[in-house]
Amino acid sequence: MANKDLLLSLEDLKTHFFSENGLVKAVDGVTFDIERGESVGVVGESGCGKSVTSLSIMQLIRRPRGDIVGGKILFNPEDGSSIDITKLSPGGRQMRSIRGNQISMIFQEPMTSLNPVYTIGNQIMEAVMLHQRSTKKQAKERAVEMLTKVGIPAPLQRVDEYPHQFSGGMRQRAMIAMALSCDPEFLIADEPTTALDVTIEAQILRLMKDIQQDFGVSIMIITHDLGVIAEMAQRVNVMYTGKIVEQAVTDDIYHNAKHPYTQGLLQSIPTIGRKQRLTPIRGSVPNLLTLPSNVCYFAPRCPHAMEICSKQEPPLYEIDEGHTCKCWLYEGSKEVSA
Amino acid sequence: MSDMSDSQVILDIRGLKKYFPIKKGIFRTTAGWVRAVDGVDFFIREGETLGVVGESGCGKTTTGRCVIRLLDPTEGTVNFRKDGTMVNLADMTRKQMKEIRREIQIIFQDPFSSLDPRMSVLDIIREPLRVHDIGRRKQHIERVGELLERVGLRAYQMDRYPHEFSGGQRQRIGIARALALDPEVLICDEPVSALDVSVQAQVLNLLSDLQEEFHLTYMFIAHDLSVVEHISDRVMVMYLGKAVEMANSTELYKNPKHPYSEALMMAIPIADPRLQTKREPLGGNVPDPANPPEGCNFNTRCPYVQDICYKEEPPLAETAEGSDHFVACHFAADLSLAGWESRRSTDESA
Repeated sequence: MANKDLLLSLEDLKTHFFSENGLVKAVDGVTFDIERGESVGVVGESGCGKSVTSLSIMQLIRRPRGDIVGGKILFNPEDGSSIDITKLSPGGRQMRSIRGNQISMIFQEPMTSLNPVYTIGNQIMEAVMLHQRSTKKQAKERAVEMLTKVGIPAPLQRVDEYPHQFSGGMRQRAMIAMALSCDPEFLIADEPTTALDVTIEAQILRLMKDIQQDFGVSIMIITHDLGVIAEMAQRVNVMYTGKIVEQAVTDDIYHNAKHPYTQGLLQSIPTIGRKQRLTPIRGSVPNLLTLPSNVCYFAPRCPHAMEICSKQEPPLYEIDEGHTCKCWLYEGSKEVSA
Repeated sequence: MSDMSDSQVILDIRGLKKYFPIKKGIFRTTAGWVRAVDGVDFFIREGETLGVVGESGCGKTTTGRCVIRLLDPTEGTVNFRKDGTMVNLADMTRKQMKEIRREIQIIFQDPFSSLDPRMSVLDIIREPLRVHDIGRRKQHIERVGELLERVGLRAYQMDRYPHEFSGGQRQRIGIARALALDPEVLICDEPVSALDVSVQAQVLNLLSDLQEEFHLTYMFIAHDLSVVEHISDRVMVMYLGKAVEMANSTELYKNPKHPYSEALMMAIPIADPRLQTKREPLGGNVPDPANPPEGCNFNTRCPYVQDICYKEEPPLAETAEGSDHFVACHFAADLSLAGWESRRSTDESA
């Protein structure tokens, strides 16, 4: 444990799936850190491995179809211990005491991630009673308290209602209440606002920011939406086909992007007030089943592709302090050992 | 609105309503009505793009479907300019409507469910030609090849099936099918929402190119405010089954006149950390369209609400003669609302 403020570090994480049609390297050598109290964004298009990264941290990869095949996930909770999550059995006692307790997660679709036959209160109480060993009465008090904190009106009455009686935004608030009910140190939000309307999305993002301050929880936010990341994250990891291609503080990602993929993404999205023709990235996201090895996967779509790009995988270069980029264009910069 | 005389208007919609019954009990009796579209007035000029934005349940998709009569309007007129004269599509028989569909076509949101998986691309794209009895197979193959090349695919791909294509390519197939009959108007219902960001830009550029080349008129329905601003000449904002504002897109985003449009401008997730809003987001939820509030629909959430807003419903009116800026708010002239540009100054607070 080098850094006292380090909450979680992924070291060369590899999560692969063994499908009928072949091997899918969904996450293929991902390395990044999350500090205590920080909010980190992971952004990328479909199939880039952003959700599989979060499921790996939670040990929710379903075996035998998929598995963490390499790397480490070091979790350093406040009690001073250091745990490599990849070494834990997914169903074991230690993992179960971390999952939903010290690390919790909110998902994209609040309707499918809530159980329709239990009341909202019961679902929050379940986690509290399991992890905090509290009585039913205490757990219910906690549920009401949490619903109040996430801004649900009339919590005493709403606690006994079912998910279908909640609107989409309210369900996402309830999910957040549930995720925070055991005072986690780390919260993973996987596309938390994708299913919501824009005014409701603004409410939820505001709530998550407030919560981060009030609870001092670290947040990893996963999304395809560059607008949401700009609003929420202090540092950003850009992923493409199972690898991180660029890593920097948020302002640098948006105003000083180095990787051609990041640049391409930013040029593809319409900017209000600038009615120019968009500059799309050519082609589409490749099929993970048919990827060659040891090349840059972005090369076929890259406007700056060189000969070397389709022959050898680029290393990670440090361009500035805290700004890394996996691209041959920066050959000569300091290489970072993964 | 003073636009019947405007010779450029190709579609003029007045008082459009679409109510869906709520069925209850074993006899399926009608217990109430969902007012999906509840009196919408708007017009589209030839060759322009009218963007339609609003949150889920505001009636934007239902409005689009009523225009092309995939749904029958409960009330109202849908005037379409055909050969120089206005005809009301709402009164047309199925047979008459079939003729009109040569002129008005639609592109759907989901490129996965809007293409029949058991039909080849050739059969998908030539189906409109067959329905309208235009040409034989040989001509169809030629036309489909031409269309495929035009939307950025290859003619030899016409024997393939939808599952062999990516989402963006499937959306191109949907566009080719819509263009098969050389229509004048395309209704685009969330055409890029299901696509990855990098592919979305390709399809938006394609739509712009096609518009220029074939002099198409677009009604572009979407919930993404940045996309709508980018592609539209004018924008209509809908809320709970009604049009609350309609204006030139640059003007509307800079100087919104309706409190709901202002709230949208503050809520857009802008991909720039230097343009984040400091304001409190709009609270509350969209009311139930089966039971909308009295007076102005927005009175349950409006930060500027006054007594009159609970009593009288404001009509959609032009802010000044010839301004081409329409708004439905009692206080449109009095309020000074902020556009998206106010987010530039970082020291701004509520």
